[in-house]
Formats: sequence, C-alpha cells, structure tokens
Amino acid sequence: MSPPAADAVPGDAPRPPRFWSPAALDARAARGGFVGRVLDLIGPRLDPEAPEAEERPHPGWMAILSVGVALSLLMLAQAHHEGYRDRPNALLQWTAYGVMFFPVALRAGRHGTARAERIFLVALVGMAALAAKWLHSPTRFVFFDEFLHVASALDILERKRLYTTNPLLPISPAYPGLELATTALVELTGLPLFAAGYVVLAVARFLLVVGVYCLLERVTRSARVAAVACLVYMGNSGFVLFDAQFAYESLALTFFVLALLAASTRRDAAASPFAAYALTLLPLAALATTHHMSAYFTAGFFALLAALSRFSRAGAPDRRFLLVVAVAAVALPVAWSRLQGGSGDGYLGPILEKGSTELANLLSGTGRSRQLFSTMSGAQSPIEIRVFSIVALLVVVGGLLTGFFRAIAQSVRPERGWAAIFRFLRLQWSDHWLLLLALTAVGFPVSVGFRLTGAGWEIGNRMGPFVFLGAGFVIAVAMTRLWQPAGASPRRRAATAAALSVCFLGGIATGWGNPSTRTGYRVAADAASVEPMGIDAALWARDWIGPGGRFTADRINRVLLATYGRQTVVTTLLDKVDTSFVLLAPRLTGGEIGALREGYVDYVMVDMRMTTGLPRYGYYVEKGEYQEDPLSPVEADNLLKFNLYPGIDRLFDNGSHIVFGTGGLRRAR
Amino acid sequence: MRAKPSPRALAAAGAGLALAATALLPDGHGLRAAACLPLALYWPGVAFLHAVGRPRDASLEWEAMAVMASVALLVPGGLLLNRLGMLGALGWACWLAGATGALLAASLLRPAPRRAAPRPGRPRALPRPLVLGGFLLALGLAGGAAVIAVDDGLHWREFRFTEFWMLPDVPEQPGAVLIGARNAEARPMVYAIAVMQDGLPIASWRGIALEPGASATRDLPLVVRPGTPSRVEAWLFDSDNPGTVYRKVWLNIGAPGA
Repeated sequence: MSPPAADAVPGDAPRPPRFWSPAALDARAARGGFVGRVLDLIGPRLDPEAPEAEERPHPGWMAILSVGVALSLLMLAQAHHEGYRDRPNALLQWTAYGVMFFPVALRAGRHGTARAERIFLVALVGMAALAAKWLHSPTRFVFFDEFLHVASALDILERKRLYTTNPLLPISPAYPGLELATTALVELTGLPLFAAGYVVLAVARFLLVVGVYCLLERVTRSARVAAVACLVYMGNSGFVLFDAQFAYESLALTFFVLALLAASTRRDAAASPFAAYALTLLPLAALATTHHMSAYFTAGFFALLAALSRFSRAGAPDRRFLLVVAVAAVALPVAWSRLQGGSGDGYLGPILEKGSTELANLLSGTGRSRQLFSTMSGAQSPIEIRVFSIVALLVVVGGLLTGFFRAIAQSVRPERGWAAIFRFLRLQWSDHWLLLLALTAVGFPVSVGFRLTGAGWEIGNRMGPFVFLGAGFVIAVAMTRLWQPAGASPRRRAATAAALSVCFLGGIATGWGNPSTRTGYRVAADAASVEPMGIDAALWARDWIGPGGRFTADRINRVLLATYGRQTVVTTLLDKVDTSFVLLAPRLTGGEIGALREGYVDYVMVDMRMTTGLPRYGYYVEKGEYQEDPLSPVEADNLLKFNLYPGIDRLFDNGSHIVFGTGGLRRAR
Repeated sequence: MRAKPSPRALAAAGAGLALAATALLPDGHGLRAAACLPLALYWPGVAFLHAVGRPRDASLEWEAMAVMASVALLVPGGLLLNRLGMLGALGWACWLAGATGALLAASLLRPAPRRAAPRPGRPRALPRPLVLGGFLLALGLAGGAAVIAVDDGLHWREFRFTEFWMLPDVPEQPGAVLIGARNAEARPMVYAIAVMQDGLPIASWRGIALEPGASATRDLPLVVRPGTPSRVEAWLFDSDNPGTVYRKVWLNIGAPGA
C-alpha cells in the first residue's frame, strides 16, 4: 500500500496525484519498469529492518581473522623486502591488502555479528592499516610531510621552547599540538622520537576508529551500520598513508571525531550538560592549536549541525548546546590564528583561493583538469592503480546514489517513501545528527572536483577524511537496507564485502598510489629518495660542520639536512630567496651570487644522482625552478659548476653528495 | 572478597608513582617509561572524566574519551610549561601529576558514581586452546613481519660509498686543515691520501685500513702567508684502483672573504 501523500489536506475531494507528488513517485517505484526500478533503487524506500540478533562474540572467528590480518602484514613485509632490492612486487602487495580487509568486511558487515566482535574487527583492521604504513619504513620517518614536523619536534626537544623557526614549514611551530604530545612522551619515557611518534600515531588511530564507530552507533543506534560505515571510512584516500603520517592532521582528525562523539552524548542525555560541554570543548581547544584546516572543517561541521538543529521539528534537546559549541568551534581557531599573528590565514588563503578558482574554471569549462594517473614527471601509473581508483570511485558513487535518499529519509522519520524527501525539502526533519551525516556525503563529489584541479587537489585531499564520515554513513545505509539486507545469500554478502574491499584498495591507490610499492632509490620521489647515503651526508654536516650551518640543497636533501643534520636550510617559504637557480643553472651569474648573499648561504649540497632521472614529483628543488630541457635530467656540468669558481671550497664528497663551501664567495666583494 | 580499588585511587597512585619515577630514575629507564606512559596517555583523562561527571557505565566509549582527554590535556600543559620555561621531563611530570591531582580533588566535590550493576551472563572463561593458539599464531606472524621489515630498515643499503672531507681545523683560522675519510663500502678498504698546496705535494698517507663503518682523520699543519691566497687540495685513492682519484676535496685559504 502506498503511503498517503504528505500534502493531502483532510476534507479535500480526492484527486489523482500529480506525477511529481510523493504518492505518484512511490506508486511509480512500486509498479516497476525501467523508471520505476531506478526510482526504487535510488529512492528513499526503507523496508523495516530485521532486529539485530543478540549473538555472542565468536572468539574462534576473531582468532581466525586475526591470523588473516597478520598474514597480510607478513605478505606486505615480504613485498617491501623485494622492493628494497628493486624487485617491486605489486601483486603480492595488493593481495596482502585484500587479505587484510575482505574477510573482516565479510564478518563485520554480516547481519547478526555481535557488537563486541564488530568493534574488535574494525579496530583490528584500522590498526593493521597503520602497521602497513609502518612496515614500509619501520626504522625512521621517510615521508616528506613527516620531516616537516620532525624538524619542529627536534627544535622543541633541543631548545626546550615552542615557536622556533622552521624553514621547511614556517606555519608548523604555530600549531604545536602533535609535537607537544610527542615530545612529552620523549621527555617522560626516554623513547626515541620515532618510537614516541608512533605511540602517538597508534593512540590517535585507535581513538579515530573507535570514535567513528561509537559516533555512528550512537547516532544510528545500529552496530551493523556503524561497523560498515567504519569500514567505508577506511576507504578514504588519507586513511592508510596521509592520516597515518607524523603530521598534524593525523592527531587533529582524532580530536575532530572525538569532539563530535562527545557532543553527541547530549543528544540522548547520556552525559550531563557540564560533562558534555567539557568533553566537547577540550578536544576543540586542542584541535585549534593542532591543525588549522582541520579546525576550520570542524567549525563548519558544528555550524551546520547547529543550523540543522534549529529546524528540527522534533524539538532538539541539544539545540542550545550545539549553538554554544558551534560558536566555540568557530571562535577557537580564529582566536588561535590571531594569537599567532594570523599565520594560518597567510598559509591557507592562497591555497583556498587558487583551488576554488581552478574548480570554478573547471566547472565552467574554461579550465583544464589535472592529468590523472601520471606523476608530475609524466610517468604513467600502473594499471592496477588506475583500475582500483576508478572502480572504487564507481562503488562509492553507487553507494551514495542508492543510499542518499534512504539516509535522508531516516532523518525525517516517521514519514516514509518520497513523502520523507518532500518533508526534508520543506526544512522539516526529526534527526539533525543523521541529516548532518547524510549532507556531509554531498561533500564527496566536491572533494573529487577539487582533486581534479592542479592547485585544489590538496584541499580535496584534506576534505576526504571529513566527507567520508558522511559517505560512510550513507553507503552503510545503502548496504544494510539494499545491497545486503538481513538474510542475504552468501554470494550477495561476498559481493558486498568485495565492493567494500575495492573501496579500501581504491583509497590506498588514490592516496598513496604507486609509491606504496617499495622500490630502490628514485630521483626527487620523496620517500623513495630517502636512504642511508643521504642521511649519512646530513649526519656528516651535523658532526663536522655543527648545527646551524646555512645550507641550500635539493628538496630531499633539504629535509635531511634540516632534521638529521640540524642545519638551517634556506627556503623560499621562510627566507623569500629562491636558490633553485644556484643549484641548477649552468653558471653562477650575478643573480645566483646575489641569492647566495641574500640568503647568507654558506654551503651548497649537490646530489649527483639527480642527473640520473627526471624528478618524480615534478621538480628537483621547488616549483618554478630552472629547467634547461623539461624532458631531460639536469646536466652534471650544471651541478659541478661550483668546481670552476676559485673562491668556492669543495668540503665533502661521497661519490654522489658534494658539499661546496660558498661562504668565501658570498663574502667576497 | 576484597573490593577492587576505585579508578580514582588508581589514577592518584599512578600519577604519584610516575612523578616519583621521573624525579628519581634516569632518562630511558624501563620502569620510568612504564610508569610515565599511562601518566601521559590515561590517568589525567580518567581524572578529567571523574571531575566533569563520568557516566556510570565503563564502556569503551568512555575509556576512549579518557585517553582523548589525556592527549588533549598535553596541549595546554605544553603551552603553560613553555611560558614557565619548564618544557622538560620534570616539568611534564609535574604538570600531568598536578593536573591529575587537581582534577581528582575536584571530582571529590561530586558524589562518587555508583558502580554499575554487574551484567548478567556467564562468568568469563579462558579462551579454548585452539582459539588461544590462533591468537598466538597471529602474534607470531605479525612479529615475523616486523622482524623482516626492521631488518631491512636497519641493514639494507642500496649504495656503497666512501666519505671524504676537508675542513679548516679551527674555523676562521686556517693554520691547519682536518682531512677525514669514512668507509661505508660494506667491506674493509685500504686508502691512500695525497695532499697538495698550490699544486705542490705537501703530505701523503698510505695504507689507511678502515673496517666498514670506521672513519679516520688527520690534522695537517699548513704554511700560510697572511694575505696570500692559497689552495689546499686532497685526493683519496682506494687500493683496488690506485691509479685513479677516487674522491677529491679542496679548501681556499687566505682568499678574500674566506
């Protein structure tokens, strides 16, 4: 039976429903045919869900799945072992990720699995994903962004004070949350920075996974939806690498999720008002001092939530609470940024402005999209990366299409069918938390749009972990209500788990890509360029020149010199001096010598391995650098030009790295 | 049957123990690390939850909140310690133990939460041997993965090389130079060094045997005439290929600006 039209008024003469009325749409969906089937598929039909069975946790399954996850880690370690020897084994690596995720998705997404078992399984695979990143580089931080924060943490440890200068990322010392947590552990326990950093990352990851689960469970009141949403969340492009790095967003994301979870306790009065305020404002304050962009995204979340609660027809008991929290979520990061001299604005402003302009141009047809599936040097991504990325995108889009109206309908209960959607369009809903999650999923296509632009991909990348909170919920609704309802056949359950697994693999492929496969040394390829020879050269500088020498070098050796070498590297970001021409130009003219003087550069480190290949990330030193021929590596003569100038010393040589002393030339008149 | 100690008592004891360990035990001591890890990541959060009014149930959600609150409390603590110039081990221990104590004291103003009634159900039994074996196997496999990865991370070297350098013995006073070499070739090496000043040989060393990872340095006094630029150049040879200069470094002395 079709539900009555929402806009029917008692006493009116019965009239045939208009074809766009809720009743007509419901009837059309029920009648079948192509349009009817599409309407039924993407529509808001919510069949009554079978109550979740009260099964006991099954320790046997938990043990078996733990063995499977551990086996996947062993396979990954073997794949990296071969990769070190420049025999990258992509097949073994991707199989390992599949073995890690698929059985867990099958069990955790099953109707009837016990709540405790679901929590165990999502926490297991969440921690395994962090372990996978650790296996890639188990003895040191190697990712570019990690070095930026290692430099800030080392400054705190050595100088015992905050707000020192970090030429690699000048904004980093103004947001010291991650570094404070890590250096506190180093000071208290005596752990090395790398180990303390991983303790913080492990705690942050565990809290993130448990937090996402508990938030979704509290909001949806379904352990199954929460577990599936958690698994979908792990398919966001930042989960395995970007948000597992020793970088401020990794901790900020945890504060964001826990702040939402704490706020959600006011929804059903699980906590007293005072406790809810304290538990929500504490992570918000910590977040404001940890990461600028995450703090602003969080402010947007709470502002939207407060606005949605304003219109909730069921009368939101947490309306005033959410308003106060939203004001705090906006005020805290703005106030912190002002306290730090507006450093966040100067850093974020250009990124947002340029990214938005490029997205607008792309949408209006006047701009071109970024070339996908190729490195900046033009090398094409392997086929598996492209396949996983595209299929995962299709799965997510399919999940959003089939789940969005269903998720909206859940927030407008007790109306059912299309009447719920019409009610939503009249700004009348009953559950602003569910609606927040559903609307957040709309951010997914926006983030994909940003990722297509050259300047905005970074915004799209940062948006991923936030919008996937909503996307996870919407796709979980689609899965539990349509793809795999209670009593689904084993084949259907396997297909759904396979779809979730493809999401997970696609997230890794999109976020980490080809470099997730370990290889030997590659030129200007971030983690693939960090190896003992460069580290030893930086350590030589620390031991024999002493900390604080003013250096210029290529992108990779800069971060090694700043962290392992404790040298002061001259950068455009901080010193406003572009020294890339000093390194790459064929001769030293007045401009290059002027840059040496302006930047007080006493040492130049050249890495002759740069002559063996094009830079994997598009440039050797920084964007806009000198390029003689974009299709050929830099000439050895260009790097060795320093040999020809009488005032320049040649201080160090290891066959690849040469340190030239330019102090004499710089000071000569 | 003895009653279990309350979480508040455990938090107070844990914080006090960690403070004492930081004050008395040296940096890097295992006991100190074991005592301080929960001080940084758990006890202050437990105290915070009790101070603001922790719900009665001890669910995972609230344990997660306790850990989050502890990590979050590190941030204002760090900002305060920075202001006080105490951003060291003792400063951190004082802050965390002090915050834990203050929050526990504040929690005493609240009525103690009643213990949740024990949930009905079977008493917890030890896992069956097969299940336990499964978990142990998982641990073993994960441990194997860690061993492979750490071994590669510590020992794999794609490049074999020798470092060679020359620096003024005392910066800004070029009366002598320091010449050094380090063997990172992963096999024992024998080197020879020749030094020239303005093209004329002034010193040489032969048969410098270095084990992998070992280094050697030599000080070389120079004859320097004030105001006269001079160039000191050192060549390194390896015994496998004595006719070819393996590494080359030089230093300009007395040059304008040097």
